[in-house]
Amino acid sequence: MLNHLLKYYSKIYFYNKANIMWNFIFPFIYITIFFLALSGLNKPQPEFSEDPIRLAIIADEQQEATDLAGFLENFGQEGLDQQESGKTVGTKQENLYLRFTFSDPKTAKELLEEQKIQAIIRADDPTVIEEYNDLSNLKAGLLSQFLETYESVRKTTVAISERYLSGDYEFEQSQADLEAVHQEAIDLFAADSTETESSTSSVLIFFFSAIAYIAFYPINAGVSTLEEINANQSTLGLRNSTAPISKTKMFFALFVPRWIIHCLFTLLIYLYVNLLGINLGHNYLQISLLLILCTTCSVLIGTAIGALFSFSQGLKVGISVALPLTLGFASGMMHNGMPRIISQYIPWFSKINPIGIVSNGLYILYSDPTLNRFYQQIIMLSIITFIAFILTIIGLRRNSYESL
Amino acid sequence: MNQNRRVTVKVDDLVKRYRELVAVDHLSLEIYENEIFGLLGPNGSGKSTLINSILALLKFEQGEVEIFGKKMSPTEYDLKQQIGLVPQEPAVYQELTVYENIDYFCGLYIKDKVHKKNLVEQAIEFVGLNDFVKFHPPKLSGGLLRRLNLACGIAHQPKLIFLDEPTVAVDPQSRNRILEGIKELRAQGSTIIYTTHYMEEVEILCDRLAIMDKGNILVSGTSEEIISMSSLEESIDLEIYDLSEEFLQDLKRNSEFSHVNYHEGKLTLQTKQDGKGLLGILHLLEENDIEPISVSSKKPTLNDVFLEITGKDLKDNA
Repeated sequence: MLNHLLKYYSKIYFYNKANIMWNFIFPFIYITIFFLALSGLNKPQPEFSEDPIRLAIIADEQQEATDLAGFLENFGQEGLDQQESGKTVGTKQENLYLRFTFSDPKTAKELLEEQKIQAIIRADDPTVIEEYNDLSNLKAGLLSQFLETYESVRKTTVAISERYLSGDYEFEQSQADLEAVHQEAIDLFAADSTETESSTSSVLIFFFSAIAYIAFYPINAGVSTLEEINANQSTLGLRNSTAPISKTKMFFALFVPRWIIHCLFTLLIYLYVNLLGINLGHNYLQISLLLILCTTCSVLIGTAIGALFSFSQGLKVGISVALPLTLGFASGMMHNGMPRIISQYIPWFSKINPIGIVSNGLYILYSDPTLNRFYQQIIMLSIITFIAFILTIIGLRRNSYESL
Repeated sequence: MNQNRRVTVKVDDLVKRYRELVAVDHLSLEIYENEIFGLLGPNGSGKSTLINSILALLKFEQGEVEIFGKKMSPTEYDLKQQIGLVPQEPAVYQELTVYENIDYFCGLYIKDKVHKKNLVEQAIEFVGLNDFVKFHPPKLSGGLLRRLNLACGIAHQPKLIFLDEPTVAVDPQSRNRILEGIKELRAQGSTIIYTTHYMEEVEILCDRLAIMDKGNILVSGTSEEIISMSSLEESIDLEIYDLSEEFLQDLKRNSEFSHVNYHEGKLTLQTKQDGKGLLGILHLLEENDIEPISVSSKKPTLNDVFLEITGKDLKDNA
């Protein structure tokens, strides 16, 4: 009987075109896109002090130029090369991200064509990089971040000044607030700078989260498993429920092939990542263990959701898509400062986020000389997996329903 | 007569509530071995809830269900072994072929491979899907898909079969095939519980039937018994020219007839369903030397009775 079920459930799973597309082809596409977007990851990261972003600023008004220069000097120097630098305003060598010069539009364009600068911006609308040349994705991203932060600081400064002028504010308070806003912006980049100093690139953290996301991705395989054996979830579930077979047996026959297939697939993705030349470290065995545990955890969380709740098909698909994305986002897949924010405001969530745990585990394996902290991650992930398994079993014990 | 027959399904004082709504209200029912039992009722009358409760898929507040003399429960696998379900919506795997689908569902009940293979082939033959064994469900027409749905439910040759509106949205050819198949299943010894909205199917197929509404069985018996229980009368239409006023008044005074009406050569009247009314009017016409041009009589149908009992038209609720 078990052979009969295993044979057909494997066949059904592999013959499902949507399943092949979303569970097996999409992860490859996703990793490839991630790889292309963050190309150059496997190469040594550029040393900004040796090769900073060079840009020309076009300013019509002196005040705008002074304000922008004042902000950028926290991260760089005026002057396009060492000799040209007129002044160094407290910029540490490791914080030297930028070299900039003020120019008129014509000269700026000539500098760009001669490749003496990589980008042109306007002081009156600094959030737009007007023209650029030979600017890597990483540098473009960083430059945008600087400029958006400047714009945000500028707006806050204007707001504080207006309040002071309207008499709402004490002078000392407004000065203190202005300084705090500036310092906060500078600290934000100082934090990134510290990460850059460590052996692990902040960009690599994106990749750790992306791999963890893919390992956690097959949650849908778990959710849909229960759909076929719960009478209240589908007509197939209704028909299967009338068969003289225990739900537990049917569950394991459905679960085991899917689980094995997805674990093997996760390892295949890991192999693919290595083939792309992305260096996640040399602890191959530990990385494989972590990824397999993550996939197991994902499928079992899916089965627990499927066993305990009777959702509509649409909602199930929504959960299967939204949950990994949310957990991935919280673990820094889209913004590497997110784990820090989550740890600060919702510390318990960062401790139980499986994608965060795996992402941290990969980071620890990459950077720590010992495996102590890695084992802590493994233990936490194992506990979550076990709880998901127990919840699944509890949900499976229900043989008849309040409604169908 | 029924006292001598073995009871296949016994439902005793069943109550099922969905919060405040009473879906099945103290319902008792006996279905006998080797009969086709029709379950009729408008949407929301409690038919599906009753079937799902009998199959132990639904929890119920009160009552007991026995199948083949044993109390039914979700883990009563010996009983489940003898039951087949054909749900209203085709419940088949899109990824498997016709043959594989039947083989999969049959394999849930039958372990012996050779026996299973024979049963699968018989089921394919039974529903006439021989030419489509390698087709996947999305390639089948609605009628063929229903036949596959039927085959998946009966391939293991169950003794008790639940058929939930198996002919909805089916072409006439497939419908006839399915109806013939159901009769054959009964001939092979199965007991069949059949829900449908099609009255003509019930009249052709079912040995007995029950009309349900608001969680109760309003009336049950053979279709003839149910029709005769109704207060509806047989309607007789006659085409007669030059009918005298005197004869017409005699008819109106005659207690055997009611609703006597004569207009433009057409006489209509109603009489009891015992058949004597038609003979009576023909006899009266003969006595008075009146020769009708045409005579037709229409007995109330199950649909008329259903409308009378529930106040709803079954077809409108389909």
